[in-house]
Amino acid sequence: MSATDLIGTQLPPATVVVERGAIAAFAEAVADASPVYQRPDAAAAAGFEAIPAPPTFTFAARLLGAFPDLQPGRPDGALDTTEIIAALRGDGGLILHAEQEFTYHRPVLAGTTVRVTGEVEDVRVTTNSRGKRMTFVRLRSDTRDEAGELLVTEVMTLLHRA
Amino acid sequence: MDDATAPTAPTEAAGPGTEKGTVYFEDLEVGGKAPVRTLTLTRTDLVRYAGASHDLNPLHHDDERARAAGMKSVFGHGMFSAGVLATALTDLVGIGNLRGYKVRFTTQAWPGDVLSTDITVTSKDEAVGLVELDCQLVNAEGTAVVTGSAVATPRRRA
Repeated sequence: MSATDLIGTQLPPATVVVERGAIAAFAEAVADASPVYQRPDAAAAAGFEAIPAPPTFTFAARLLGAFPDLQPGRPDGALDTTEIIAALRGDGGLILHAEQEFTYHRPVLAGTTVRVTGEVEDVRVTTNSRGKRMTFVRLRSDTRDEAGELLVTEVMTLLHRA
Repeated sequence: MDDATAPTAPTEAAGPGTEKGTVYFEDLEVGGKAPVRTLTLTRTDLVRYAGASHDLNPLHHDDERARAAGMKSVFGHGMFSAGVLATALTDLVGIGNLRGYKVRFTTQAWPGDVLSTDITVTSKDEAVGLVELDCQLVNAEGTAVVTGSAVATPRRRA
C-alpha cells in the first residue's frame, strides 16, 4: 500500500453525547479552574446556553461519549485513527502526533449530542536530510450539532518516520 | 497549576455582567504578553488527564512500559500540554472567544519538568476585532514542548 492511497478514506462517523461530568473532569485535567466549566449559572453569566466544553475537549470527545448503542452504521472502507496508524506502520517505523489544529465555529455544550465525521484530507511524503522517508497524514474531523451546524473543525497531523 | 506570576496584560475592574478580570480587545497590545502560568508536571497530572480524556496509552502512566519502549520514564500527553496552553489562552481572551488554535508538538514533557506558558499578541485587526497570538509551553531549559498560534475575538468595550 502507498500511504497516498489513504487520501479520501472516511473515519467512521460517530454520535457523541457531551456530558457535564466529562466536561468538568476534562477542565480540571487541563488545569482550568473556571466556574464556567463547573456551574450552569456561571456559564449563563458568561453568555452560554449551557456549560461549554474547553477548547481541546473535542479531541477526546469520541472516546468519552460515543456510546455503542447510539452509533450509526460503519461505511465500507472507513478506518478509525488506530487502523490508519496501523496501516501507516505496516512496514515499521515510528508514528508521532505532529500537529493539532482547531477551528471554532460555535460552542460545544453540555447536555447536547453531536455528530462527528472525518476523513484523511491529505498525505504528503517527503525525505528528510538523512534520506529517511517522512509521511505526513492530515486527518480532518468535523463536529456538528443535531441540526447539522458546524461547531468545531479539527485537523490532526500524524507523522510516520520510516 | 500554580498561581499565575507576573501578570503583564492590563486588566480592568469587572463591569456588570463580565467575568472577573476580563481582558478587553482594547487592552491587548501587539507585542504584549499574557500572564505566565507555571506548573511542575507530576504523574498525578498525567493520570488525571488520562482518565479525563480516556487516552490510556501506557507510555503516559506506566514507567515499566515507557522504559521498555526506550523512554527514560512516562511522559506527558501532547494533548495535555496543548490543553494547559489553551487554558492560559482562554484566561486571556475569554472562554468562547477562541476562533482558532493550532499547535505543534516539539519535544516530550517529563515528570518534574517546570512548564510555563508564553503567549504574545502578534497582531490586531480593529475592523473585525480579531487578535492573533503566538503561544508556547516551555520547560525550565527554555525548550518549547508545544508551540502554536491562536486567533481570538476578545470582548470589546461597548
